[in-house]
Amino acid sequence: MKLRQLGSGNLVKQAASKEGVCLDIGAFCVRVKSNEIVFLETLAFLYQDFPILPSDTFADFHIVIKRPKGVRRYLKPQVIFVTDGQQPFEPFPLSHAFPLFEWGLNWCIARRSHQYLMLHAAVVEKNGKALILPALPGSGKSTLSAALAMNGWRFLSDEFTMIRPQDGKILPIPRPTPLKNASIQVIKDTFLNAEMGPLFPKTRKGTVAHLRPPKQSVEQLKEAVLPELLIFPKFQANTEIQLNLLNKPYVVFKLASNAFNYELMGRTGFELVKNMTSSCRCYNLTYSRFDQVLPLLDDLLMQNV
Amino acid sequence: MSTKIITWQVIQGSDLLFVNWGSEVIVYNSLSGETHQMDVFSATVLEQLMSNNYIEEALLRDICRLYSLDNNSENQQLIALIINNFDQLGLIEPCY
Repeated sequence: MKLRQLGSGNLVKQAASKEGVCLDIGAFCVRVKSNEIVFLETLAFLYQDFPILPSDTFADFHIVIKRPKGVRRYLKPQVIFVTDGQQPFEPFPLSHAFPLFEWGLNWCIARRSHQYLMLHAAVVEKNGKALILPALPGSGKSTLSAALAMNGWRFLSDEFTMIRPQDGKILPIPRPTPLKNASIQVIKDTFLNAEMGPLFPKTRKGTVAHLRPPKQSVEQLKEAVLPELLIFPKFQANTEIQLNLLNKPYVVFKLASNAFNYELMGRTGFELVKNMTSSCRCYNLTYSRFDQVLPLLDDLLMQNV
Repeated sequence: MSTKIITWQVIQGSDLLFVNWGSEVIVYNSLSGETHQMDVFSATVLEQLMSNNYIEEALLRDICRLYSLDNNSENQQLIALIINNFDQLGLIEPCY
């Protein structure tokens, strides 16, 4: 059953129950408990195509979104993120419950999912070939991966590239993409069918709005894929597009420093980074316009050289 | 006063993995979890140290033989520099 099929009344009831709602987000199962209606409405919209699992399913993460005790339940109400009985973050304004949930879930994944090599990278796929976009915050990877997802590529993740050690394949986690500030309008203006959740102004990253992942990408959330292209993107306004082939040793170091858990994974992490670097074509990309970068990436994938 | 002659060995318990990409080599040290980048010549010196414990003079001799190089002061300085770098990186240690 998909989340949208549950209906808002049942979602509110189930999320408030002891079992909560078990969401299948691809590589993980997340158990969510909350009785915050506005948060649940946003969750229901942005995760509408995701499967919900039986309440006795093993969940990787147990998350509660609720108001704190005391006066801040009512006066300028706040919300807290609780996982496994711990509250790792300071409270957020109640209106920012959904961004808190998303950032908290990122934190849970980054801290605990060491069965996979985790790159801080967006990832999309076409024709069975994955394009990995590792980058620092602010480089435009979310915007670019959103544009690719709206332009025929399968969306696997905006934040994490999860690589399975057994076969080097990438597992999807096609969660909503948090677009920030100017990127929100850019995506809205360029892709008229883009569906976004509410605007969250004045977050620590400025104004944030979440792009709902394409339905087709969510339907394929169990389909792992091998990497083909590794591109380090950088958005730079008013510049001509530039694509530079990278030498492999440089890429190994870039990926090692980009990964959340390269050192923690020891030899396995090294082997995965080495194999991925060997098998992929690796580039630096500077871009400023979708009408240049989208065809270029399509062509690059098709070249298969 | 005499200079102490040191015999060098690859750090005990380390497992070094080499990946050769043309003129550059990546070396992963499974003991420290660190990844290093070096040229092919330095990698050869390290591999030589993996096969045997060496004093600097003997290492210079064997490397020069391997590469058909002159056993001169310039190459002696180069080997000394490489040994010092490996020591700093925790790839080798004195053997007592």
